[in-house]
Amino acid sequence: MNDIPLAMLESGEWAEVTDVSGNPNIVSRLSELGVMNGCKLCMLQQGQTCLLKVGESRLSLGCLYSDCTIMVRPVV
Amino acid sequence: MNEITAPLKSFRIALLGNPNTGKTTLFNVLTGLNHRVGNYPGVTVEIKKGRFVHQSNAIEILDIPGTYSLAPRSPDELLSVELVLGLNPLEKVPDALLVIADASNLERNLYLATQAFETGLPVILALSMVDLANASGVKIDFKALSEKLGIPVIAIHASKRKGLDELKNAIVLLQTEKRMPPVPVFSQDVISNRAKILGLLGDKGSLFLAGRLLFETDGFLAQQLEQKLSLSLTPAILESREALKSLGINLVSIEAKSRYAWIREMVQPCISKPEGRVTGFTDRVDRILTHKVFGMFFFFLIMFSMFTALFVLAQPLMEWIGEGKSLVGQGLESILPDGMLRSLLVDGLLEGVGGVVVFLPQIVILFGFLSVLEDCGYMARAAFLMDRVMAKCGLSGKSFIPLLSSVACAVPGVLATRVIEDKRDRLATILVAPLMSCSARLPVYVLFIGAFLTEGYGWWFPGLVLFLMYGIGFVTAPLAAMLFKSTILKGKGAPFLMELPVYKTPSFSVVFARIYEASLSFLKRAGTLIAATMVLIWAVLYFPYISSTGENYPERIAATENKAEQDALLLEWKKNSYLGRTGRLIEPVVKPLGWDWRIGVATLASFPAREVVVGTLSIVFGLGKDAEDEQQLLEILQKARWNDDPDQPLLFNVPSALSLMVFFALCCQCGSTLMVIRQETGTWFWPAFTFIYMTGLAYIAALLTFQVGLLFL
Ligand SMILES: Nc1nc2c(ncn2[C@@H]2O[C@H](COP(=O)(O)OP(=O)(O)O)[C@@H](O)[C@H]2O)c(=O)[nH]1
Ligand SMILES: [Mg+2]
Repeated sequence: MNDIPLAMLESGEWAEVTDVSGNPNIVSRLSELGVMNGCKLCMLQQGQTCLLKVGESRLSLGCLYSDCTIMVRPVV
Repeated sequence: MNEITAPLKSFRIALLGNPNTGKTTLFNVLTGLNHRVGNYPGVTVEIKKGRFVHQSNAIEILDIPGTYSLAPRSPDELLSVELVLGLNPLEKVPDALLVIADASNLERNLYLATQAFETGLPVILALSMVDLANASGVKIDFKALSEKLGIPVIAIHASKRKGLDELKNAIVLLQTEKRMPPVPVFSQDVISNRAKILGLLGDKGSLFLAGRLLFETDGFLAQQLEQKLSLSLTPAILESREALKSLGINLVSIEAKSRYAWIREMVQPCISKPEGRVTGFTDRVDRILTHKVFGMFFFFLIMFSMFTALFVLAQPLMEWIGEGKSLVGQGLESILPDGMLRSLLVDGLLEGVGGVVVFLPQIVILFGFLSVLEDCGYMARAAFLMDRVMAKCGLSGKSFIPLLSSVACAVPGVLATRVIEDKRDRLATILVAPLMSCSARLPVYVLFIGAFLTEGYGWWFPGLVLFLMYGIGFVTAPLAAMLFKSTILKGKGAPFLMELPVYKTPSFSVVFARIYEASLSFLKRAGTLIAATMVLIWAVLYFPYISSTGENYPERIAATENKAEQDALLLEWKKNSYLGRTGRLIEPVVKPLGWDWRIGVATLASFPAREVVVGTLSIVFGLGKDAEDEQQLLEILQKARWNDDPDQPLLFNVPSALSLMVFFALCCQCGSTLMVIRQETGTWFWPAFTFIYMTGLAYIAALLTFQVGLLFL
């Protein structure tokens, strides 16, 4: 499989989310904001705190990776 | 028709929407009340109520904090949900919901609307930011959407007053003609299990509540409900959850999946978007402003220009106010006879209050800057950039916004911590927010930098020193937070998850309202709390005016022509006054900081409100000065000598000026802040803790500054 953790996505790359798992509170909050299996997102700024574009919104996510894992599959 | 014929019972609607959708703006234009409007998620932390009359119908409108979902996870969100569902004992259930959705991000905004549809209340959908949507090539067919959803859908632009009448008409129409919203579609298994729970809820229940109990595995609301309705729902809920799980349904994500799928089905026929991936203005700007290196550079540039502007732009304005004050003083002196009343009015009130009011231009510029940063969308970027730094201290970027707000005033800063979900993070942020240099410290900085660190330095130097004074807060607050988080508030920080709004031109009325509000409360404080303190300070410095040997100082000063003798008498009088005696008592404590008793008492007097210090210094250093040698406080301080004795060295030098500024930077001299900490933490322990640690820290830091400064300067 060519799924990678979200953190490995380079700035400017697009990807499709394949799995969100971990702390249910965070997973459901992310899903309300549109981050869930099957959604497309773009990494705007990579880093420990990253900036994502999901739909029309920009979300910043920080120190999340210990509580919740987001796996993505890069798309062109 | 007028209000007398209006029905007595008003129609109640609750205003619901994601953060930054223009909710506050709409509320303000509908009700005519003016409130602060913020441009970062969750600035509306208090519930606001307003009313308006339309076609002789009284409408009551409730503005609740912006939220992405009615599944609450913080105290802020819990309150909203309770109000909407009528679970809050203080408020009745609303008659209808008005959901405001950002048209430029319609699908995401409709998520909340789908939850509102299940509450059993009629819903009106107002679409804001239609202008922004159109500008990016998005076209929405409102009529089609309204037909599809079966509820009124109205495009508005609140600040331009567009669509308001239509909206009001729709609200009024709801009273007679109830059009119920559609019910979002879930899979059959979810529907049947939800129905089971709904059956147990009784008359307080709604599809939405039943859904919450089903979907929220460790939900806030579910716990609350069990208590409030004193029902034992747990077995039935657990059974339903198990049933769904055995069918392979993921309870954590099923709700969002189903809602978004339904939304897409509803919206797609009514909306046309440009093809392909569009990189808009915001994304292009963000490439630089959120960049690790360039973004940080801009952040510091913006902060530095703000502090330079505080000096450069305010200077002429301050001089005008100072001159005005002198004119009033001379006027009063020419009409009032010499004596106690004149001394009270001129030396006490005018000097003290005037000395504080001089700083109004700075307040205007500071609040202007901050509200522009907030309203154009930059504040959220700053929080994003700072998240990495804050994470090192065990906090998240969310703590940064309260801290930056505290640069204006710690009171709104402490209130803004309500957006932080994690209890320990929130408390740590509350404890360190007062360390940020607030606008009330500004007068002290400006005065002492102007007096001792301006002449003989470059034009950029005062701004830099001011920037560094603010830097003390910016450095100490995170360090203190780190200390608290690794000791008394140990625990893992909450993850940082925040939406960044689009950039936009700041709205003049929003910025103006914020400046106006801040100036007004500053002047009010000057006119009440500060004026009262000033009179008190004046009195304890004036009395007793008869010495222990029975000499009457004012009379003796008036009797003699000799200037040197007058000064000597004046000094003796001040030293003998109640304040002077207290000052000499505490002098041993403040002497290591490079201060004499006068600075000591001025500092002591400013514990209730720190801006008092400037006025107190004016009184303490200026009492009894003749109108002829009317000087600005700045010059008086420059020329002040130890003991007021011309043979003694100058009282202030760079180390002692710095030690005073450092003390004020770190000390907790604000009754209002302590009160708001008490309010937000619910105990007196935390305000007492804040007071003690900050005052101790301030003393040690001032001591080090002075003693080390002496070695180098
Ligand atoms: N372009 C545009 N800006 C709007 C509109 N409605 C509100 N705003 C602006 O959006 C910003 C945030 O509005 P605010 O009322 O604070 O949103 P809230 O967070 O939902 O309360 C303010 O600068 C408003 O002037 C609109 O329809 N179009
Ligand atoms: Mg608001």
